[in-house]
Amino acid sequence: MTVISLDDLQKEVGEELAKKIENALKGDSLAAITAGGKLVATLMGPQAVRDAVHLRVLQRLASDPDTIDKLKKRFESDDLVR
Amino acid sequence: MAYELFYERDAKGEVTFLKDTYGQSLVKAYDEWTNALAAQADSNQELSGAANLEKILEDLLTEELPSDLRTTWARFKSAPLIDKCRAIIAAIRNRRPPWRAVVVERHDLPGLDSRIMVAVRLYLSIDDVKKNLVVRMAEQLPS
Repeated sequence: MTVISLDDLQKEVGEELAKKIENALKGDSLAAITAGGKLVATLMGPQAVRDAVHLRVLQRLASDPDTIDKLKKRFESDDLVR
Repeated sequence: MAYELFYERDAKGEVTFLKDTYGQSLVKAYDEWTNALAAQADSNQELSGAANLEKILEDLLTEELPSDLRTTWARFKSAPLIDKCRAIIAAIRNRRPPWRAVVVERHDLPGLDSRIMVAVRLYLSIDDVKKNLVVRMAEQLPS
């Protein structure tokens, strides 16, 4: 996955475009960037990111039960370090 | 003030391995990321982009899975595994309030002097009374 920094966008192409993207993603939605009638990119808001992480972890745990075992031990452990 | 950041001992080893492998650029970005998570946890909001681990485990138990995962899960599902899933959910619930268990990912941590991007997933617990955030497991993802 390629990540585009909104801070970089602001520096490189200006405040207006960055603001437009930020507004498009308000309400945790997905947003698409089009050019010449073609889809160029799809952007994910926080809820879409959360859903994607949820699905990937679900996939990981469903296909690798050893991880469930490991997580159980880790979440029950009180052996904490800084 | 940000929550205090701790590591489960084995998780600390996993993070140290990643830092040793990918060098100073990753160390800096990783530390900034986890410090930002600790600051967000303090504001008592949901961490940005964080998935709820308890909900994921419940989805496994109730088989609220996308159809392509049902076959995979059915292949592995066994009584001991179901018990382990229930035990993690119990561990999370028994400590609540104030416990939260979440999963976060970053896919753009710069490694090897920013020559490559490293993707990392962290399993975290957040204690709103002790005001700490504990990294329970860290894993590198294929990127």
